[in-house]
Amino acid sequence: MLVSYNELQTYFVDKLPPPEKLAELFTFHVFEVEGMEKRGDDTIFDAKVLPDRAHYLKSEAGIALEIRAITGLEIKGGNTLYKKGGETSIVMPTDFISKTLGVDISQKEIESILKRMDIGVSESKGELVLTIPSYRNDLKIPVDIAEEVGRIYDYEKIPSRVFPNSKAPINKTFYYIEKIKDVLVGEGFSEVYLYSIKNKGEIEIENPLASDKDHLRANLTDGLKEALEFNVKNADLLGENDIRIFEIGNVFTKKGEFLHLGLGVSGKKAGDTLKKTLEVLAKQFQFDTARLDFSKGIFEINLGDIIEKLPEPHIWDVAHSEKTGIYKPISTYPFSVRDIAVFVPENISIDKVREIIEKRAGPLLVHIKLFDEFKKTFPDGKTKISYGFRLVFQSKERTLSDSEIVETVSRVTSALNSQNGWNVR
Amino acid sequence: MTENTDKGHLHPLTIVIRDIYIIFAELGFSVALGPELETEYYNFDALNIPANHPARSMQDTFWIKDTERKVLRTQTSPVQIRFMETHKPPFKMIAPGRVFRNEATDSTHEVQFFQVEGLAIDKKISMAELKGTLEYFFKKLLGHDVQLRFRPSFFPFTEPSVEVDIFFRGKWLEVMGAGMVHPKVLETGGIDPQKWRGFAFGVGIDRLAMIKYGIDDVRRFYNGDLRLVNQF
Repeated sequence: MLVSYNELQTYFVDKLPPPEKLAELFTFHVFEVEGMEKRGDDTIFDAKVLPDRAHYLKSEAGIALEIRAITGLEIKGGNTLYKKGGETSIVMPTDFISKTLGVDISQKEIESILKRMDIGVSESKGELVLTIPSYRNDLKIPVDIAEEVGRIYDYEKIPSRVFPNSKAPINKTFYYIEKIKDVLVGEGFSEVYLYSIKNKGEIEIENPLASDKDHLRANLTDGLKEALEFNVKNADLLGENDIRIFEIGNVFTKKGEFLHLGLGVSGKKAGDTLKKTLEVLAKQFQFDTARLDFSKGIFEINLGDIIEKLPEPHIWDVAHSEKTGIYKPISTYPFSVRDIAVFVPENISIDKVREIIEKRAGPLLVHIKLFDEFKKTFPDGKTKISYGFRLVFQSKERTLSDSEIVETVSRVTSALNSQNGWNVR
Repeated sequence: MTENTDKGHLHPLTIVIRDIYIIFAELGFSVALGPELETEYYNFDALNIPANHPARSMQDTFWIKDTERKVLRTQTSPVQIRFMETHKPPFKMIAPGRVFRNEATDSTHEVQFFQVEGLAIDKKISMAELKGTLEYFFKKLLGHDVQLRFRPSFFPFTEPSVEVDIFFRGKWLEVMGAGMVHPKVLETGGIDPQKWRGFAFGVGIDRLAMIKYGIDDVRRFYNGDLRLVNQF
């Protein structure tokens, strides 16, 4: 809602705080000021009035009342919203407000704050009796008053109190989901979270956002297939020989909502990898792999059923490692791959070779991976090791040209060849 | 040939959810999970958001066809209602889970995201315990220099209600809604508001992960792209 600073000033005898200060007061005591615009000598506020205050605050007069409540400044000619009659009352224990806010506020201060909102306070039989004017009939119960006092008193003044350390029971499903994730990570699987809303399923959405996103997923398999295809294209960039992914999430059928585990593996050895992984899982989480089908590289199973049969956990022994650091943005430009292999004397380590390659190639080299290693004894009796590396080049700003890559590889080749006894194949 | 013997990677949302769990577990909070496909009752009515109430427009909802008033849950508060119905106070719990909003997607908005909601009910809980709990949480999650402040707001299920901002890496960021549980919600959950009171809060986990790790686009969390996941 838009309101003019100059118009608001007309309600007051005294000068209002400057616009920036007034906006700050609004934000910390009643509503968020979403924007401020200077128009000539005036400032227009964009006030975010929420549904609970709409009935009295969506007018200049109402906002002027709020200024009075927050600052105590007197309104010219009194309150235009206030009409005698139709008052209601709220009764509460004298310490209710302090107990709710967690800070002792004197009755005197409570009265002074509420008076600025035309709310009368009296005490009767050890209780506070509040008289609420008709224009604030949104105030019905004691917690409504606690909010009115708290926001004007200032939430900054509320202290911080922490609960003492204590133990709580462990949620069985949550525990086993996390344990299974750790086992799968150990088997080389990476976790994905995929979309629950798809273009097909058994449960349909009445008001979908798009026509191809109008059903709840009935399985994890469809999403995993798509994710596998996507990641296979980036296998070199990721430095992976095969892609192994998993998701643990809910699926929806006419029979209900179920927790499923889905695995996906790419490549020719997918079936074997799945079989081996499932045997590891089955052993640790006590289920039977006898009639399961791993042949297609994608596998899905009802995890809820499996977890149900497991014993209650008593110790949270799930791995926890502190992950810090800033994520590196993913480049939208294509990557290029080049292989390079070099013979080096026996005593030279992989790390030494990598170091030279990385240094000479520069920042365009985003990934380097050893794909081949073997020893060869030459006719002159010398034994050398061959290291074969896959180099992945990518820029964050542009598509790399062939000539750029050729030039970089050539620099690397020279650097390697210039080492004593090394030669690039 | 070298085999792929490297370990895989957990999704950054899992890492953050685990961090969140451990911090709250220290304070005695347990975890509850619940269905993503919910009834209108648990997603709205029980949270003091009746039909035709303007507060319903504060959340864009996916409704399910051909059923008796079912929705994809817009928050994990339904889990809290179910928990109240089946547990006697005092207790403290968090409900992490996937939630859904029917709104246009962009770098900071998705149709699905993860939330964690918290609920603590006891005889003597106030906004001071709410502030203390949240400060403890954010300092442990994001570092000791984090500061926290409350701003007045409105939610139908809490009163007083606040928006929670944190000061992190030089900026104030809005991260969470919170407040004292509305007496109507306590009653609906079978808890006597004359004897018990409590606080509740709700935070988007995706947003926390984006803040903590500097991830630029929320949609990256759900397209299965290992170029994101493998960085963790």
